Amino acid sequence: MSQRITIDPVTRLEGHGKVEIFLDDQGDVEGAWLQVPELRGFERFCLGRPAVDMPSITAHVCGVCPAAHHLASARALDALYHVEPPPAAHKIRELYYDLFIFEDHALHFYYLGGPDLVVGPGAPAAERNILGVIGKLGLEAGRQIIGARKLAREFMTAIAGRVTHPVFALPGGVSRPLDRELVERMRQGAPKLVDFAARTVEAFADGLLQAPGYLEMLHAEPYRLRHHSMGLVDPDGRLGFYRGTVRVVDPDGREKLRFQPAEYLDHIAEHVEPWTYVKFPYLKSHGWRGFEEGADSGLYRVGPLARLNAAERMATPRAQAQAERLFAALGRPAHQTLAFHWARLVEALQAAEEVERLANDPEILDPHVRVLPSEKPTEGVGVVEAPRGTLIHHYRTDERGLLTMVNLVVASQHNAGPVQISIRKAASEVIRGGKVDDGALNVLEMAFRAYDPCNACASHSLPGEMPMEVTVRDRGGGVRQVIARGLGPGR
Amino acid sequence: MGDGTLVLCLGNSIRRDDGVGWRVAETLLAEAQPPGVEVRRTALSGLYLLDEMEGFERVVVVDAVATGRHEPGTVLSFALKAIRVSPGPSPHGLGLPSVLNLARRMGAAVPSRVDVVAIEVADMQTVEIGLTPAVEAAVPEAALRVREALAAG
Repeated sequence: MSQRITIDPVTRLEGHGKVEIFLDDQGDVEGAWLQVPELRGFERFCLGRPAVDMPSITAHVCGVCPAAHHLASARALDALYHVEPPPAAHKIRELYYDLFIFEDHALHFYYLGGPDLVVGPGAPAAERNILGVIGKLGLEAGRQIIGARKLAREFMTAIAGRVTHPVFALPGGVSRPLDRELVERMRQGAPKLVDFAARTVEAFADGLLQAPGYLEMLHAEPYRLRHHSMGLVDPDGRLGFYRGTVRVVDPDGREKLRFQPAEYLDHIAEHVEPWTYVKFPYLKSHGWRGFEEGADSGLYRVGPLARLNAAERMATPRAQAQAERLFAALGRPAHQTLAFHWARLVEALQAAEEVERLANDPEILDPHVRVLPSEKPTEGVGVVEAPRGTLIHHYRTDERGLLTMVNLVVASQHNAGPVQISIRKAASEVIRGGKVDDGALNVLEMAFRAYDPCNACASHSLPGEMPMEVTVRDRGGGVRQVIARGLGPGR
Repeated sequence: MGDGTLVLCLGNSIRRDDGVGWRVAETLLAEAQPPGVEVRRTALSGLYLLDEMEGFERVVVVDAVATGRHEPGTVLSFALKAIRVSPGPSPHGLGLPSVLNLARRMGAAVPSRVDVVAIEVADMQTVEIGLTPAVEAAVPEAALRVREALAAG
């Protein structure tokens, strides 16, 4: 390889992603890799601590999806302590989680993923950010986003004590029942969330289908990846966020696996590469076949689009109608990476509909919300669908409940293999003859930003926004060209 | 906007030096605050900070900073508007300048003045409670700088 192009760090992703593109003598892409920094020492930090602290500790690890860690951890503790929460407790957790999925998906779409599609991939970087989206959709839409999220977060705070770092889920249930006044407010507020989610996904789908350029982009080779899809489903095969069994379908949509969370190690193994600390999960049934797509590859994807693929159907009627519209346009299963954005909005609608259903479920007011653990703790696995995909918490303790083993598999890990292929495919399309321009970088970013990889999150030092720097190196490794945008203070 | 002043200390206490903002808050809270000044700790970031700042006329933000251009423990203080805004914000890493620009553009009330006291860190990647020595040693100076920023009224 004669040149190395470094994109570091990638804009609009939390944590520091670093893309390395290796060019051959002709300046064409030979290989491309996303380097993901590792959160160091997490397991060591946890060992010897009481397992009951984990819902709080893990929520602090991630400042982006603390609710997902909190509930995956609580599910693991239910199993660890051999205790089944009462129905009302499950419903309260689920209601909280649907609120979280709704607000996170809405946030993600408008501020992170939306810009690519709503403003357009050819727009300058500055136009693609949130201001560009607001500018295009209008001030009113912006106010609605903020208003809808504010309402959802207000309910989350009322249920969980704190919105960012929830403290309500405990092994065997939740800390307190819901009061009637709060539930009444949620009953009244939920239709606003449903309306907002429905209007957003409809406007998005209309806009997308009427703009041939986008549909072509969705179908373009760099953004297409045929993989297995994984997600939680309920006993009827409907998409679930909070609990269920794990279902895996192959690239043609045929069910390949359906297993209980506790069985995950029977089905998922991890491959180690010398150039990164990140381990690449794959299906044991297929074995490790390298970074390749297709039915023979053991790689699989998680996240909104994978969930839609993996479920037989959505859990709610309006979301189901929107999912059908998506599949009608893209085929089923859908393998267009950028359709993750669309799937996210379909899911936000399901979450909003579920909030409405649960708020109107009389059992949500049942004061019996906890079963106290009485058995000795042993081992437990908890799985939820985080906004970005399947999240696994696995703990073992001694009989005092002190942790002896901790394993977390987060969404970005499941997707770590496929994202490498997406980057390689996008790079091959847009970097030729060693030529890289800003538009090409946007395309490259889009290819993996759709996964919303969440790397070493929760560290949020100033200025909080990441610069982007591209270094083009010549054969000897010397700097030939530096392209930079958005540098921090003092430069 | 209201007329109070908020000292908003950002951080994550289990990410080593990322917890420095919270340590500064502890130091500040050990003494009585000047009239009209409130000290808060938060683990939020990005747009969520708008919720925290709602109702305040002035805000002093205390946070870790990783410029890589200063020795760990170096305390920097500057007006927020001195930071150049990056064009690529994320909902998870949306910087304060963008947050405030956005809010202003959408017609929301925002603080008229935001100052920043930032402490250069050595390690924010390791999951561990407790600051590295150089950063821990900088806590009193950072607290002093906050007091100075408040006094500069």
